[in-house]
Amino acid sequence: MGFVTKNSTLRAPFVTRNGSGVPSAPDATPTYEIYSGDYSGVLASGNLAAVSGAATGVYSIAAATTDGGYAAGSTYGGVVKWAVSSTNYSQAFTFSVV
Amino acid sequence: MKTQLRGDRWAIGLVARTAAGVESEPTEAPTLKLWDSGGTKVVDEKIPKTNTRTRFSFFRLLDLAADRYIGTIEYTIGSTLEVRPLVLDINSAGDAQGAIRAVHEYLSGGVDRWIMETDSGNLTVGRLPR
Repeated sequence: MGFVTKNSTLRAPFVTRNGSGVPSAPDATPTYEIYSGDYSGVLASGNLAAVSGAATGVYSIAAATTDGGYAAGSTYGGVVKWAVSSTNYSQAFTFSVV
Repeated sequence: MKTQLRGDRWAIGLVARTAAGVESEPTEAPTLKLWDSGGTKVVDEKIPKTNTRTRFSFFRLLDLAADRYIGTIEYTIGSTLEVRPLVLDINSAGDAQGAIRAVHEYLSGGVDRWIMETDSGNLTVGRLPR
């Protein structure tokens, strides 16, 4: 998802899709986790928010990088999780703190 | 204070594809939507067709304030709505840095191509597989 200035907020859209790749409403609000640089722990987690006025399945993540654990010059990985018709899906993402 | 960028233009290239990745003609022109960091929708416009029935480009004066915008391009193929996410990251300097950041977003986004035109010249990257 590119660069995020430390002490700012990571913002990015995600589209929840079914097994055929078609944008679909999730069973519940999608969640996210962001992992430490060595993937040994979870730095942040939470819910995504539906984007007002967007198509079905469009959600946005808003994760502050003000908390401890983020270092400028490091790249972090995360995952967004959702379910459609009781089938679980996920999408990985990465971003760099500058 | 947010700074307007003057004179810069940006473009998005889109190849319309089905959910399975097959290039296909949309039922009507795709729609570009952008939201600012406060959640306000600031752009909601149709994307004009280019030289084919499946490839589109959107080119406009960059008159948006410095912010990190999230967006989508929506189009329908048959009766199925496809949604492609994107991020447009505009800095306050109005120079190539903004372009570089936006292009970087493209690499993990859903759109096919960013073109940023700034005072320092064009910056273009090729289309990536979806």
